[in-house]
Amino acid sequence: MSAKKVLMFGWEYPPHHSGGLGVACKGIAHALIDNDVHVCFMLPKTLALNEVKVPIVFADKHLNQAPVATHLEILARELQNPYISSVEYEKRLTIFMNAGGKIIPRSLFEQVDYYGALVSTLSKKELDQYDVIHAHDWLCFKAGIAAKKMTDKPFVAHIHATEFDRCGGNTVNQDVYNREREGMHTADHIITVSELTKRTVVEHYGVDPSKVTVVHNGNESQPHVVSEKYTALAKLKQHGKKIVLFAGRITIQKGVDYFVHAARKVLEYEKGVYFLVAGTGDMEDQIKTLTRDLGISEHFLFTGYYTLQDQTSMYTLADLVVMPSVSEPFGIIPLEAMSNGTPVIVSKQSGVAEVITHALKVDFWDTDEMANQILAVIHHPVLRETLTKEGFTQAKGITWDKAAKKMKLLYQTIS
Amino acid sequence: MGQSSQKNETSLSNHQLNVMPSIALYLKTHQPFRIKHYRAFDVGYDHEYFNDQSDKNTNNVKILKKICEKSYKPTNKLLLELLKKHPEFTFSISLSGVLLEQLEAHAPATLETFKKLVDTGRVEILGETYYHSLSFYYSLSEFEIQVKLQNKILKRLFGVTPKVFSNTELAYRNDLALWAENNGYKGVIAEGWDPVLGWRSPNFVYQPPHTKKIKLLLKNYRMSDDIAFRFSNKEWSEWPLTADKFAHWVNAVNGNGETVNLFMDYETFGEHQWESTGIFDFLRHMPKEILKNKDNGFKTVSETCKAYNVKDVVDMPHIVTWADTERDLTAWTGNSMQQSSLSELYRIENQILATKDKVLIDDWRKLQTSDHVYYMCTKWSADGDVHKYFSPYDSPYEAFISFTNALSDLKLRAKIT
Repeated sequence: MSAKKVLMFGWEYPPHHSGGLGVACKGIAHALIDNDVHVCFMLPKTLALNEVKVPIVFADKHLNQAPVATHLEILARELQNPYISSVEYEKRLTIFMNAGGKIIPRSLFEQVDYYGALVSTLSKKELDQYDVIHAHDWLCFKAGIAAKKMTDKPFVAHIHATEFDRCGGNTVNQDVYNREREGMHTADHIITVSELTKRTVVEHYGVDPSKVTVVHNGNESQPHVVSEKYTALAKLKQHGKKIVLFAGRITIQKGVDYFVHAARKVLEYEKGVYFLVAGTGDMEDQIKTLTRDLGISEHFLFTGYYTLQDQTSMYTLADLVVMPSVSEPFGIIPLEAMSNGTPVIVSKQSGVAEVITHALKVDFWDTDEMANQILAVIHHPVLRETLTKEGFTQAKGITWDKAAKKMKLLYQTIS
Repeated sequence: MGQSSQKNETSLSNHQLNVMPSIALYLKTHQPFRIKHYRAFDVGYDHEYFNDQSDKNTNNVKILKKICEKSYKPTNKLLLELLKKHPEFTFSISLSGVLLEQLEAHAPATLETFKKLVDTGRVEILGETYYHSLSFYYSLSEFEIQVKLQNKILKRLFGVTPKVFSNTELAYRNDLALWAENNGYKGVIAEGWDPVLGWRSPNFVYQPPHTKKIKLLLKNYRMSDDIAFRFSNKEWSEWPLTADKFAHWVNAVNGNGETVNLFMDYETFGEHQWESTGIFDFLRHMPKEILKNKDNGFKTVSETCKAYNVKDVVDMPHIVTWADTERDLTAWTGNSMQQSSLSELYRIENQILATKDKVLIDDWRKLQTSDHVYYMCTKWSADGDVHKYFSPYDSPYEAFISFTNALSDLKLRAKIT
C-alpha cells in the first residue's frame, strides 16, 4: 500500500498553546511521520514556530502577516482560548481593553469561520494532493469541511473533547454544540480519544457508533528537572511534609472543588500534608474562598500560571498527583506524572482510566474514597513504591507511536 | 497433550512396569474470608473486616452461596452418583477450615453433601492449614497450630484424620516433607514441575531427600490443566475435550507411568469452567471412559502412596507452587506491598498471641489467608490479567489498602505500635 498523504488541520501548536490540544497534535504529527505517513499540518494564522520535522502551512500565508508577539497580542491570544468560559472571556476582554487594546478581537466563532473561509481561498490543486483530511476538534471542523467540499476526500474528525466535557454538567453552548455536530456528521470517520468520549459522541450527537474509532492518546515524557523556584516546596518535603498536587485548569470540568473537599477529610487524619493547586481558571477565586471557608487554606498553595518546566518540577516534588475531573475525555496529566515517577489517583470519569491499571481510581464525587486513597499513599511507602515502579513502566508504554499506527490503519481503510 | 507423556519412554525402560496407570484425582476446595472495602476512617471504629453485606464481590456470604449453587452442590451430586455407579471410582479432596466455617454458618445443606461423599469411605481428605496460609514459610509454630486446628475441624465434621498433606497453593519445599514425615503423614503432594523433574515423569511415586518412608506425589500439570484451564478454550487444538479423548491420553501413559495425578481446584467444576462449557458432562463420563480399559483404575492419594514403590529421590530445595508459568511464590510475594504485608503480619505474631483474645487472634489468622496477598499481585495487570478473574477488588492497590487498613485496626486493638 502506498504511503498516504494527510492534510491535518490544527488550531494551536507548541510552544504557542493554551490547552493540551497543541501538544497532542504535535505528538500525533511526529508519530505519523515516523510511521511513514506524509503529514502536512495547517494552522489558522502565522506563528513563529520551531518545528523542523513536520511541514507546517499557515492558512493566512498569503495575507503576509508578520508574527510579532507583543504584550497585546498575547492578551488577544488569551482571549481566544477555546477552553475558557464566558465569564472568563469577559474578564480577559477587560484586561485586554485596559492594556490599551484598540481593536475588538473577532469572537472565537468568527475565528473558526474565518479559518474555514481561508481554506476555501486555497487552490484546489494544492488541496488535491492529499488523500485524507484530518481535523482536530470543533475549532478546525469548518476548515476540514471546507477542504472536504473542495476535494471530496475522506474527512476524519478527531474529538479530543466535547462541549459536554467542558461544561462539567452545566448548560452546553448551543453554537459550539452545533458546530461539533456538523463536523461529526460531515465526517466520513470519527476518532475519539477514549471509549468515554465515544459514548458521548454516540449518545449526545447521534453518531453511528460503527463510524467511530477509539485511539487513546500517547505520552511524551519530559525530563526531571527541579527549577530553582521550587526550593520552598523542597524544604517542606525535607521536613517530612507530604505534597499532593492538582495540575490543570481551575474550572468546573476539572473537579478542583472535589479535590478541596477530599483534602479537608485528609487533614482531619493527617496534618502534615500540603495541597498544591497549579494552574489558572475561572474558578480560582471560588476555590480559594472554599479553602478559607473550610479552614484549610494554610494547607493550600496556589501557583497560578505554570510552564512545562514548572510542571515537571512539581511532578518530581509531589508525593501524589490527583486528577479529580468531572468529565475528562482523556487526561494527559496522570501519564506525565507516572512517567516522572509520581503515583496518581484518577477519576473514573476519565479516558485515561481506560488505559492505565497501575493507578488508583475513584469516582470524582466520592471525596471520602479520594481521601482514603490519598491517606493510603501517604501512609504506606510500599504502596507508593509499587504504584511508582509499575506506573512508570506502564506510562512509558503508552506512546503516540501506538496511536499513529492505529490512525495509519484507519487512513488505509477509508481512502 | 499426549506427546509430553511419551518423551520419557526410553529412559524408563529399565523399570519393571506391569501396572496400567491409576488416576489420583484430588480436588482442592477453599474460599477465603475476603476483606470488605475498609477505609482509613474505619480504623479504630469498625472491627468487622469480613462482613461486607453489599452487592460487591467482597460479600463472602453472597459469593459462597453463588459457588454452592454453581459448583459445590451440582458437583457433589454428580460425584455421589459416580461413586454409586462405579465401585472402582474413588478420589481425594481437601476443604480449608475457613471454607468449612463459612459452610457451617451459611450453607449447612451443602456441607451435608460433602459429608455424604466422605461417608462413602471412598473419598479421602487431605491435611492442610485451617486458614489456607503460607505460614510454613514464615512461622513454624503458627503453621503447626493451624494444621492442628484443621485436623480438629475435620475430625469434628467428618470423623477423619488426614494421612497425606497438601500445603496452601501446593507451596512445597524439601523441609515440608521432612516436617510431614515427623508428624505422621504417609505422603505429601507437590507440583510436577519439569525444571525439577528433568527427564523424570510425574507419573511415578517419589521420595523427598533425607526422609525414610514418606512418599511424594507430583501433579501431572499438563493433564490436570487440560481440564482445569484449557477445557473451555476454543483456541486450544484439542478443544473440545471429551471424556473418551481424555481416557485415550490416560491409556497412553501405559508402560510409561503408574499414576496420573490430577490435582486441581474443586471450583474447576461449575465456577472456573461454567456448566455451559460441558464440564459436568465431561466429569459424568470420565470414570466410565477410563474404566473401559480394564487395567485402569482410580486411587485416593493414600492408596497411591501405598500401591507404588518410590522410583527416585526428588530434590526441591526451593519453593515450588502450582501457580503461573514460574511455579514460584511471586504471585503472593512478588511486589513490595505483598512482602511488607506478610512480614508485618508475622512480625506481630507474639504480641497478638499474648493478648489471648480469641476473636482478635482469629481475625489475625484470617488475614493470613494467602488470597489477600494474591489479590495484591501486580505481575499481570499490564496485559493478560489472569489474576483479575479471581480478585474481588478493582485493582491490586485497592486490595492492599483495605488489607493494610484492617491490619492497622487489628494492631490498634492489640495495642501494638
